Amino acid sequence: MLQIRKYLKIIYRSHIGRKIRDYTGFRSPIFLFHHKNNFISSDLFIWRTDQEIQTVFKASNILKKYYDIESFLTFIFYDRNGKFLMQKNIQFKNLAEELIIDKKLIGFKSYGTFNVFNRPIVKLKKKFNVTNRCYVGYGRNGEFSMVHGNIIGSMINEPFISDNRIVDHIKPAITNRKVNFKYFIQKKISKDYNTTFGFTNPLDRRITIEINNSYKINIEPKGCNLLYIRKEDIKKQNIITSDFVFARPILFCENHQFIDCHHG
Amino acid sequence: MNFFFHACNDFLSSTLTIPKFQNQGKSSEDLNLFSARISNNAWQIIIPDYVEDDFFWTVESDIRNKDDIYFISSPDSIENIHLNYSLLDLNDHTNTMPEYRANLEVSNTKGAWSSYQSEYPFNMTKKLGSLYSECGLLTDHKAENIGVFIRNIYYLPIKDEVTFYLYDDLHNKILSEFILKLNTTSYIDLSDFKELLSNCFIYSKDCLGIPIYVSQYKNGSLSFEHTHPPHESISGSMRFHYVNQLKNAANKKISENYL
Repeated sequence: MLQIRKYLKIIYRSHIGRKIRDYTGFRSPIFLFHHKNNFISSDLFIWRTDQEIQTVFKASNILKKYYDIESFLTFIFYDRNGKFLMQKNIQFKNLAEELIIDKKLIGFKSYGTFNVFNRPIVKLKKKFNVTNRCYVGYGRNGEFSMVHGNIIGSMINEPFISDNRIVDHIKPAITNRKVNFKYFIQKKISKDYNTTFGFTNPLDRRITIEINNSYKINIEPKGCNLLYIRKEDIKKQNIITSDFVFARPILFCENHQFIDCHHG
Repeated sequence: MNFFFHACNDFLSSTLTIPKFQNQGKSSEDLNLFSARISNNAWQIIIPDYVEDDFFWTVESDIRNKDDIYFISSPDSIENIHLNYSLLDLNDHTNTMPEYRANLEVSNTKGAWSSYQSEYPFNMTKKLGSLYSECGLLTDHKAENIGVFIRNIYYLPIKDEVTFYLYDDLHNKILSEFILKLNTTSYIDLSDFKELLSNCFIYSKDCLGIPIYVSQYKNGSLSFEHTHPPHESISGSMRFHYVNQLKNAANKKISENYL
């Protein structure tokens, strides 16, 4: 019996098994790119220009580094409700490239989300499997606290797609399946500073998130929410519940002078 | 099983806060926190000097514990480490998805702090491997002090020397060479190269480890974050082929430019 279970587990987790689960919707896999053979993916990052905060984004030239192909970065910006704002391309001049996202670039003070795709300059027969996590930083006066990508949330199955079609071809890289997700933050959150929880929604459907059974929010597709938790509501153990399978936040911790950003 | 560690130097101290519970909520009722340090070519297991509450153990860094590693275990299991003279995969309490993590926070005398959710998986301790990390992804040339902590944990109680190189990929030049030791948290000061780092990588052919970059700005602000290993940037059946290609190319560049 144990042997049968062992083999079933292998099939369940295999390339074919994932493909069948994804196609039928029966226990669909959490990450949908594992059984794809040609894709480029991205986190759904948070940009901030509120409260005099700037955002910096940094990425490595993955296509050049691994596939020896000249490439560029395409940024797709959304507002906090997931509404498309703009699209921007930048070329790689260095091994690592960066973009400062501030009020001048976005046009207003707020916060929202963005995808970044590392795309080939010329069309080739080659297939890509890019899961570049990238890095993002938040801070004031050009001083940034850096954090790596949180979760591969979006993907494009046609790496050679043209600029004017890319937005419509961005798909969730995570299952849309509704679950009872419960996540205990493995950090002792101090009341010496203010803590804001940042969540994004890379799915095609609205998601619900609740913190400590008291702060409840809905997030629209491609949108985000920054949830400031009052110091009196910070618990010794802080718990997130959600219908989204991977509702792991970024924490923004700050006092009057300094910011520390990291994963929850 | 995961290990945890400190990161401190002349201008930074660290605070390690290890949760007693898994991120799905299950707690470690029969388990305790232990640390290991190398003494007389053996792993010495000690009960660290921690502060605890119902949910966390907190350990401050000092000169003595800066290279210590921390792990959660039942008291009965640790004897096996003494007997085997090697680190062991003692339990699966920290084998979770998402990963079981501790908070590693660095702070300075100006009151600034920065942290990341850290862990060192047991399976990494069994390999020597090689390390490749791009320096421009987490450093800022406007910062006053820039550097990188390299943490290695190897299962055998040895402190062999390993060589790390800082390579300028634009000018095809080795900028510096550093001798570090296995089973330590070492700090490499990169401040002298800050204008060049966006085209640099760090490489060692003899050692795995976690590179954690630090930027300290003039007013004290800090950034503290690790780069991902190269195999996390791509997926598919060919990914280790591409990663080996990348590391072999790095090794070749360094060999060809070594004086």
